[in-house]
Amino acid sequence: MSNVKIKSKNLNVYYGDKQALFDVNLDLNEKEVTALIGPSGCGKSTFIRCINRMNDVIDICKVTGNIEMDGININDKDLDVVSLRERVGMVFQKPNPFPKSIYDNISYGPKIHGKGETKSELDQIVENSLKKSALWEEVKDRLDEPGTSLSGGQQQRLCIARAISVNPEVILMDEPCSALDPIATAKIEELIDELKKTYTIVIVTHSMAQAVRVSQKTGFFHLGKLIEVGKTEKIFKNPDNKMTQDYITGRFG
Amino acid sequence: MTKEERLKKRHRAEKRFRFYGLTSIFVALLFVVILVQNIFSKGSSAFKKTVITTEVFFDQELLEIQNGASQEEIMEADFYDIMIENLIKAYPAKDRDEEDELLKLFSGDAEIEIKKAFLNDNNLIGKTITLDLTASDDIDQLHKGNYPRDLPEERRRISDFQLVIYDYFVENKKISKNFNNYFFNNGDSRDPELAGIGGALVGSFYSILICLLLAFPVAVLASIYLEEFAPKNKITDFIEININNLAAVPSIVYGLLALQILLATIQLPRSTPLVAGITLALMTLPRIIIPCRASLKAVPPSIREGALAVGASKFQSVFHHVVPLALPGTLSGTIIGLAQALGETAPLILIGMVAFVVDIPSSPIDPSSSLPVQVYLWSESAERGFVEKTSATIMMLLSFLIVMNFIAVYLRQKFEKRWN
Amino acid sequence: MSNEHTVKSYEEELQFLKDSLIKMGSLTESQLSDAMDAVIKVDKDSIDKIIKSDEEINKFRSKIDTQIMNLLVKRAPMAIDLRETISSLKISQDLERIGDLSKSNAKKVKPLPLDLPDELLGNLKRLGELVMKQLNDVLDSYVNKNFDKAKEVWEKDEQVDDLTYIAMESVIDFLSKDKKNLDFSTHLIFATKNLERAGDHITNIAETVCYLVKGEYLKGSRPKGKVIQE
Repeated sequence: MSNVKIKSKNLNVYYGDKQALFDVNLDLNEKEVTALIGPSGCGKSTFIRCINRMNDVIDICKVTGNIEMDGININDKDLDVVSLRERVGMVFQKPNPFPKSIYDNISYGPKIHGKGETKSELDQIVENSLKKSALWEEVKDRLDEPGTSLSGGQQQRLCIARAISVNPEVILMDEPCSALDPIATAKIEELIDELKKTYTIVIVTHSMAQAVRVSQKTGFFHLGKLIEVGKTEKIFKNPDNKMTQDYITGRFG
Repeated sequence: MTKEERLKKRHRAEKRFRFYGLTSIFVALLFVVILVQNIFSKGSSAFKKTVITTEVFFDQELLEIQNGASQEEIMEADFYDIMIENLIKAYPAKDRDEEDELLKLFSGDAEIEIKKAFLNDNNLIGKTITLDLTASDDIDQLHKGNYPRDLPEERRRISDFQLVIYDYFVENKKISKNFNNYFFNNGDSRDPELAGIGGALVGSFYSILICLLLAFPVAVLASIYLEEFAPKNKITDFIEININNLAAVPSIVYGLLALQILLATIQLPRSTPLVAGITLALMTLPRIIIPCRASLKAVPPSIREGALAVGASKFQSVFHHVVPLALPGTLSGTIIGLAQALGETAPLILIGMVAFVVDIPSSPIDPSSSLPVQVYLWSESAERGFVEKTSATIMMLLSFLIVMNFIAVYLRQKFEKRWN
Repeated sequence: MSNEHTVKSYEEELQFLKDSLIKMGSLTESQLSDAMDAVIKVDKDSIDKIIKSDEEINKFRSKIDTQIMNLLVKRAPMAIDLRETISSLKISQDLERIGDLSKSNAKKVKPLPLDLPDELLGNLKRLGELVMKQLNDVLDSYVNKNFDKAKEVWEKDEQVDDLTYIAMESVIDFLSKDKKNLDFSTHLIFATKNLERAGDHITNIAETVCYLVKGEYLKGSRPKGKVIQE
């Protein structure tokens, strides 16, 4: 359980002249949930977007340093980002299902990666993904309805199912519950508990309570620097760094 | 001012604003009603033509062909004598002058109409049938009440004798109005009673078709490239400014462009829907690009990110996700652009569509007219008969525009429902 | 980055908790001292006063309990705040028990004769004074978040055990000299035991303070002195 899946070393990110991340060294363990906390603008989202190279879509963004997964350098210019994103999925803050049917939402990924050739194969993938994200029972009779007809919590589970459908190894979650009500949030947290048995998960969250509930390892970011990282229990019961303690106890001015 | 006074003042202001709004809408609707009523009243009579019920006897002696002749033989045969013989019998005329005046009551196509009857049934020799022959333009207008009868004869287009015959026909119920199929089937003609928009209709259809086939793909692909793939630098900014400016260029300038390049340099055939289509396409291009780009811009970035995150390439994310969402807006813009193109007159005049074209074009490279140009041409003619036809053509044009706009709205709603 | 909570009411609630605890601590100290005095001087008049002040201590306990519940529900305290809250819970429990034990000792004064030998009372007095010092020190260490001081208190429990043993022996000695003494001797035995128990609770408080300050529990078992076989 303590194998390192993703490792970053001296990772620096610049948006034009402004530096967003400073020398971040962070190890993410396999089949574990790592939570990233910190005030707004501290660089947590920037960090996870480095892992699946989503920062590429921003023209002025420059990434230097090392970030590796299973020994492969993610920052390599020649790396095929499409296959990278097949291995590293992402769930966003606001649920963003495609404006297509539920079925098509899930089958899109496998189709473009050539993972499901026949209809029955795709059917199987769709069913498995929906079952794994605890949505199957609720939507199995209406797979043709548009994904946008679901409630917020269901939409987010749909997005999780979509991320799972291509069989990734890592799932990145950028504040996945911030737009959801408590019941939907609880369902997603339950789901994360289950998913961590199969996938490596990194979750950015503003809710400290959620970070404690859900993660085994927590990293605290502030102004682009990784201030402290460690076992979740330790960080929240007895952190080493005073800044960390001030942040989690609400003493940040 | 107390709180209550302020509240009252605000309420009054809101009431005033509502009143202004409703008044403007009312005034606008009033103008629309007046316009429509004006055109309708002038144009509705064009859909009917006056016919004179005449007995026609197919005398073998006056015909070269026999019963059972083939279609080609009938087409080539001369029916002039049959026509004269029968028409003179419609009313007693005492001399040649009066005979001429009698004949003038019928349209110039009377011979052809009699021939058509024989084409339908080639066993009519020796038989008498009753035909509704198209009346001449003057009788048509007289019957529709557009000619005043109380003028001295020199100032009238219809002589006293002709009036007598007309009254006789009316009394004996030999004169009536039928549906004017000539209006839709015939091309232009010097005779108003025979003139139709058939040629212009087909000409417009071909022009718009070519315009669509050229403008739509180019515009949409250009928009997609500029919006999604092109790097954001000074060059693309420059292009964007120029596209926006193109939309504002007066349409007659496009006509000049077509005249110089398409006609003079490349020497494409004049007055054809092909040239019209190309010209209109150039004009419509920016009018499609602008709404298409706006629709593409309006697609939320979360959709693109969702697609990319699942491992789609940039190309896939654009064409599988962004473009379908931008389609409703693009289609609306396209149809509105086409509707505008349909009504364009100035550039088409420049490329020579003012020519008098009688035949209905059978391909885009046959010379033709177009609906708005036809309106222009007829509005310049002296004959009273063209007045109603001009208005009727305007009615047709407006109906097409309304239908196209409805299609735009329908398509937009349908697609938006599907994807929302 | 200040050292106060961004939400002032949170800061005030925590402060209120600490203040209540400190007040409760002072009351307990007085209680313990008064009870000791009563026993040594065989002062039967102060018994009622002591019983009354015990009610005060209990009231504080409920107040602190309620406050802790509020903090947990409202604030979901983390790290040091969490430790502070839980520690307050434990310390107030221990203080209340010390108060009860003092009250119990005070009650035992009633049946005591006025002519108890000095030596007997002396041992008891020494034990009492040590326990009072322990309480004072441990409360100090709480107020000042002084790990070392708390650890000392924790370690000194050994001495408390030793003095208990000595006091106990002298009572048993006294008891064995004259059967008449049996009746109130048992009271004295219980009173001595109560003081030892008070010492244990004080040791608990010391452990809690250490955890509060360092975030780790003290390693090893607490030092034990001689123990009377029970």
